[in-house]
Amino acid sequence: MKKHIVIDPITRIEGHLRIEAVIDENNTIVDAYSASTMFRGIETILQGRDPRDCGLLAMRICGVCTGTHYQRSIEAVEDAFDVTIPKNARIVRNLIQGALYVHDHVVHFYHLHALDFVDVVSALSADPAKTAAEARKWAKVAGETPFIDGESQIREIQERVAKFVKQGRLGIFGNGYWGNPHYKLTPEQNLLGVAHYLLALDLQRDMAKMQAIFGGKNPHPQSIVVGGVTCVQDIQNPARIALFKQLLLEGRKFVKQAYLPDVYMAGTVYAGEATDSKATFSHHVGGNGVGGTGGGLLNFMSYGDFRLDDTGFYKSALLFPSGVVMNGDLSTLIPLDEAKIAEDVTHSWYEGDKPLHPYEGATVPHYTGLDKRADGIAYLKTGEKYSWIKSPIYNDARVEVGPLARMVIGVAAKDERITRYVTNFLKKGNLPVTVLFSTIGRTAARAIETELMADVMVEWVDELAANVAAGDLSTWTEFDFDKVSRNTKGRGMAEAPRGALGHWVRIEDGKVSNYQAIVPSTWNGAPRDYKNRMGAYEASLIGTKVAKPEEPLEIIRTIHSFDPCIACAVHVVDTKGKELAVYKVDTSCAI
Amino acid sequence: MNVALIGSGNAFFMDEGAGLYAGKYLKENYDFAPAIDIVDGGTLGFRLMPLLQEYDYVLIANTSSRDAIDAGTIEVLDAQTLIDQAGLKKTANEVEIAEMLQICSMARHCADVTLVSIVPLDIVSVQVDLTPTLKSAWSRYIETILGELARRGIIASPKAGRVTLETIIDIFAHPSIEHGRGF
Repeated sequence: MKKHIVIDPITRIEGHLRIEAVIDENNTIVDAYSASTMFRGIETILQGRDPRDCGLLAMRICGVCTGTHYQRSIEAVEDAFDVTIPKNARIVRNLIQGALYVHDHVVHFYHLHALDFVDVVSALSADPAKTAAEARKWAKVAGETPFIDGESQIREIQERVAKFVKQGRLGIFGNGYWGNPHYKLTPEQNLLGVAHYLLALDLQRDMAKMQAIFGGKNPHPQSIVVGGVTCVQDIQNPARIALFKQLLLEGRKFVKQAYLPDVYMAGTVYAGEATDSKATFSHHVGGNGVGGTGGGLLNFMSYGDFRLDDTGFYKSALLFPSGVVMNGDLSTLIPLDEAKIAEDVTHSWYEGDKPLHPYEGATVPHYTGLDKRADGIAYLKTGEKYSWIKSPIYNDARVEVGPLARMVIGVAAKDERITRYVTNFLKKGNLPVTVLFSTIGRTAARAIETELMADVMVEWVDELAANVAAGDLSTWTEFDFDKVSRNTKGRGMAEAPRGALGHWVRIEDGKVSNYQAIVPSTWNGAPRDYKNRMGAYEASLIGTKVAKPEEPLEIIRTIHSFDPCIACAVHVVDTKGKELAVYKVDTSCAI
Repeated sequence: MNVALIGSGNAFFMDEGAGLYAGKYLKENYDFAPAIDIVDGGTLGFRLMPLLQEYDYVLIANTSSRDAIDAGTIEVLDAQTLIDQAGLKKTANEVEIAEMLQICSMARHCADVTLVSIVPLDIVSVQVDLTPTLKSAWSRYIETILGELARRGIIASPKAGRVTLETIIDIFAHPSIEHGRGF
């Protein structure tokens, strides 16, 4: 008899992410639905505006990636007016965004995802001396010295954790699924993970400071304007550049000595699942079953980002190449054709009868409600409309976006730098390339990307200092708003930490006539499309075996591996918290 | 003592922006002694963490989701009370704040936190404004925040030339690069 699991705070909380999964008699997920239950029709607010002001509003779409939305919006307008920014502005923008990647990925791994792998209660019974040995072991795999390996320091951290648990004041440590059989690390490995969790908590404070150095007003960066950046005084001041570099090097040290080793540790312990080809969506739909648990669609897309030269938007060489990879085929890179991007609303609470390109996109709500309640739970009408997220499609296919997509596409594009980092990681960890197509692979790709980004940012900050020292102080390309076209359109298509982010703006008579944004969590968290094909979250859950249906640890782990927008992430975390919100795992409803 | 007042909320969803407007309103209309930092917190998510670690005392102005009580009601909570309130958080912001407070309580340093929350009437409409209910509760909301600051020894004195709530909301609704009017 099949059982229906609902992970959702829907009855009390207005929005965000809800997952419904159907498991068979072997506790294997055979069907899954991802839904956002909060309306976000923010685009309508931008209509009729002065195009230069879009950034100030668009940055409010998300508080975490505020600077990324802001920059995308500015770039959409720059594209519309054909403005090319100066070299200093390009590097400063790269550094601001790069700093966000490093901060975001570290915080995501430790504070929003690690406890899906690390059993805190088990850590309490660890031997600190053996834990220190474990730290050395995994750092050695990464070719590094460990960030910490002092027995007394580890013991002190263990005592600190014990105190937290004893006090019971920690929601997230208070009642997780501790002891679940799918927690596979040893007590010492768990203690190492917890120790790094706490160290990262103190360190991320400094990582966050990097964004503010060139970003201007913290926490909402406002130093980016149409035509360039306004932080000319900061780049002229060698002390500011030196401070940025110092913070970067400190952050990079943690990435190399703790984050990467921890991912090697988890990757090795969970390698069996990451290569279990029968636990894949691909196997489930009769495909070649490449990869393992959590692999999902195996179709990947990147818009490309981080310009490496000054030939202009959409012309420059890029740190992350653009492109598409289908069916996990790393030998074939399909060039990105942005005309093939469309959004479908068949299963979304909007009006519309066919997929539309974002320039033509519409956001007209059409809420049709939830199904009748049973046992106090209102279920999604999965055969009809069931989410506020639209379903983006590329060339009539569903795709995944994010760090894994960027690494996969970099390898398929034979990008020297990305291929080197990915190959090194797999070689050092003695892991097959197919391990990437899994939940742990998605998490590993984010770590690989963090190291790559931290390294390349050191080059960029030196490049900026050298350019300024050589006398180039230009940060802004002048343009006269009164002389540019009053009827035009533009797009800002690039990558946010969570994946492909696009803003499309259409300008008529000098005002915004249409504005559409497709955010990464839209690509990944979307519902089914007009051909009833699953979105990335949905597909990633298919074939996963759940150890205990009343403890959906595996579902949470896989959804977290995508780094869903914070609001979503929090709500799933809630399921193991102190019932921050109402949460039901209903296993009694047979369907 | 290092003090921050964080206006938190989402300006796109009617009353959910109340905390943001409060931060800006206080910044425009008062001088504080000793000086405090007033931060436009928006919907910060985990970017709230560095702020909680940076300051000794943080006052967060936001909206609450206590639908059992009337819109316009103002509550003052400490961090632990917010964390312990089960099933009462409707907005992304509220959940995020609770989550971040939980995580940061494990950091070496976490600010002492007070929340001054106002119960919204409408957090669904996509509009930059406040409902009349919240507008009529405005002076109480501001006085409550000032009262909490005063309890910590921070004295506010009005600036010359009052900026009205309507003007503050208008700044959020119509930011302009041309007129140098950002958030």
